[in-house]
Amino acid sequence: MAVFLEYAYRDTFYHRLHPITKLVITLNLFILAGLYWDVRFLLPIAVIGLLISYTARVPVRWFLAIAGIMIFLIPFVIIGVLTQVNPLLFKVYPREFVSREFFTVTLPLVGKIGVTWGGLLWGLAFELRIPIILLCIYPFIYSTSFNDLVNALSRYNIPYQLLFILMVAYRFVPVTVRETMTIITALRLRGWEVGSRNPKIVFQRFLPLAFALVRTLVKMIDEVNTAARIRAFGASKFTPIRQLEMHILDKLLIAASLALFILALYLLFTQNMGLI
Amino acid sequence: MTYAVDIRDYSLTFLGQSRKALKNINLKVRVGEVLGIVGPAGSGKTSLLLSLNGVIPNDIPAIQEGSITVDGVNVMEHDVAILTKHVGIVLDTPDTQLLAATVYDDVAFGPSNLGLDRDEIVRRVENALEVSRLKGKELRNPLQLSGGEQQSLAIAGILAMDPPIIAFDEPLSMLDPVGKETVITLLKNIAKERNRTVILTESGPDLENTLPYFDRLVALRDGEIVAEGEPDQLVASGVLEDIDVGEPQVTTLMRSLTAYGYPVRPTANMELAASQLSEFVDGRYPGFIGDGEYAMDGDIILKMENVRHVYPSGVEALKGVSLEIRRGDMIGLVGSNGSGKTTLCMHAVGVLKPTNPDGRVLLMGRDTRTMKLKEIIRQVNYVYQIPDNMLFQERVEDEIAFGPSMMGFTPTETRKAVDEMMELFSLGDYRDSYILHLPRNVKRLLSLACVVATRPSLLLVDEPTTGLDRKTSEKVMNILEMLNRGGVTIVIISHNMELVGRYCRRVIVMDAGRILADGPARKVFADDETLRRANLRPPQVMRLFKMVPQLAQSNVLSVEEALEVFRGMGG
Repeated sequence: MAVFLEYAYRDTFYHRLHPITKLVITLNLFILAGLYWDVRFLLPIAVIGLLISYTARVPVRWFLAIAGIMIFLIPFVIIGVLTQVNPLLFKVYPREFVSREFFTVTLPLVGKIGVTWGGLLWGLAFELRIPIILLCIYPFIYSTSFNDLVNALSRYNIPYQLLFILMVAYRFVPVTVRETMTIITALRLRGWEVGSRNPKIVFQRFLPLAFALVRTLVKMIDEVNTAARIRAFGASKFTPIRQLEMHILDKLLIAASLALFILALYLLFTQNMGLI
Repeated sequence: MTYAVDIRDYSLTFLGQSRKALKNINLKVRVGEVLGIVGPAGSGKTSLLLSLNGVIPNDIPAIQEGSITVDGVNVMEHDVAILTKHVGIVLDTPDTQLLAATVYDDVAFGPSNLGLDRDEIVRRVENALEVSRLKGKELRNPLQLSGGEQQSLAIAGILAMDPPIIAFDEPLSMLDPVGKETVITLLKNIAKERNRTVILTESGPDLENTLPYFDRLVALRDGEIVAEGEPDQLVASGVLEDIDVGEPQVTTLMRSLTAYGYPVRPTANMELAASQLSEFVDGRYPGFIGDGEYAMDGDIILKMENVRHVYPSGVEALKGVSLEIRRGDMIGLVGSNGSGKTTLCMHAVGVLKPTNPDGRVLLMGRDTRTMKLKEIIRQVNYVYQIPDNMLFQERVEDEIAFGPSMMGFTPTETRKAVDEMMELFSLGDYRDSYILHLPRNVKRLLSLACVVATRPSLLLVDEPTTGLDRKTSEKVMNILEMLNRGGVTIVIISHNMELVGRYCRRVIVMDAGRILADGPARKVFADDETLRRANLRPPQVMRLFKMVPQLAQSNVLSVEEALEVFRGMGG
């Protein structure tokens, strides 16, 4: 069973697509999710990401990480909602609307702060954007093996150094997840627990975990380098073991994806579509 | 004569270090030869191997002197990328070498990088999978294979690149008996059937498995070759004992018998030893060792009742395990990789809980489901096989103090615990050292010290001697024995049957999530059928005695016991 952000062999429609098709779809959704601020445009991307994840049979537990990230983002969103009050930053919604207060809070030391509709719109976009980006990346990682990706990219003369970075990135998350779980268990067996709400103490308590994790990951990069060199990585032009064929469906999907992407970019830059 | 490897006056100093890691090495390896390089940890074995394919100095900066030629190519003049066509290296940690997402892709990764023709790659991959017995597992995730399978896969990945020279860096160190057997068979095939030159390093614990396959043995100490020759002769000469590599049980026994004046001579060869002993014991009857039964009268510390555990992936790791652990016992927990040993330990320390409602783990009579982890680890704790997994601090002293301070010891108590551990584990010289720079054997001692400092009454130690030289192994085991005499119950999880036979009174055999046998060590190791089902085998000295009809019933577990048999011999 694949751990978080790790490829697994499955015979699904999405797994069978050409890596370049999946890369184009993922990059298009990724870029749009990064550019859009309006929830009405972000949500359809989330729906597409969910549909693709469903098609690729992405493990349900991967979505728990999204819930975790959304909870983690809440304090930052609150700060943003409270401070994002300059109406000049908004391009689509009327300035009177975005600067209108709909709620006020009184904070100690700071005093009374008004929450505006603009702040709320900004906060919602901020809260949703990273989870949506993950939703778009999940199916790609789960359905594309490293060899297939190298195979596909090697046709475009991607330099060895870039492929090496890709290799480390591919191993990074699964190894980090595995190592973090091991280290946390080992820490707990030595009596370690967070046991406080004081941010300073929490930070101090997490230092041993961070220290062990950094040491492990640095070692991992070193080991991957040696292992890759021993296996002749970068020695010659990569011969793919499988003949990756770009079927008509792949071509259609790439064409449709690119067409929609270009249209979305055009509307974004000319009509501010997707902005707030 | 053309040599596969020709090393002349080779010295090596790692950048930033003043001490030479290798000194004036002169070594020639014939084509098709199987060469063993033995030496204790830190003697320079890995450095020598990584020099053969240019990883040193290309990726690990070092200053080199002398010359190395492999397969007719001057190593100093070429990059790793070129040298991989001439020398393949399999490292000692299989999981770090596996780079692709499926078994098939991983084997294909090397040949694909060499830019071979696709049909040739497919042929080589199929062949390598066949030889390494990984057929049928092509689509599995390499990281989810057992240790033995992972090492086989790492070997298959190199085999598929088809280099004329293949070097193995302690390929058996992390494997269970089945894995060792698989890999040894594989090595034999590579050398004899494919006519490849094989170089294999070994720090001692697996000499018994590897010795029969070496054509020649080279002994390294402190970066220098101290002896070289025919394996049996070299082992018999005692040089491996001198350099702290140790020797197989059969050699120690035969050497001791020779020293006591018995008409035998030291050898590492089981058949030869058995025939010498047969001649000698003919017409005599052996001394009695006892049946191994002992009174299990300590109070019950830990009790498991019908414990089952199913992981979220659906794998059922424990299938209704019930056992009792009594105070003062010294237990060996054995079984092949994936048999459920670690899952069992994780239940003992409360990290995992039974997934069946009627399964219970009782610690001092209390169900661990109702206890906090901190309460549990005051009584029972676990030492990981890989020390790096459990070292979190920068310096040695802080690392030992970490557990006690987290467990609520007062500063005075913590300081006292640190001082005691420094003395018990002889870590005083490393008190202020950075953990990052510690050698492997010191890290092992430190990982034990960290847990012992919290004073558990039940200690589970996973593979206490893996990767250690004989001297440190003995030190670790002596400390564990001492703790046991002081009242600490010890459970040793190990693939090393010699170690378990020598130190443990009770042995629990696990297989596929179940307990196959649980009883006095002598009784369990004498049960051939159970061991066969669990893919285990008894200590070498017991196997030797079974080859001699007059001694077959003695069931000795250690060399000391074997000598007892001879001392008590009549007739």
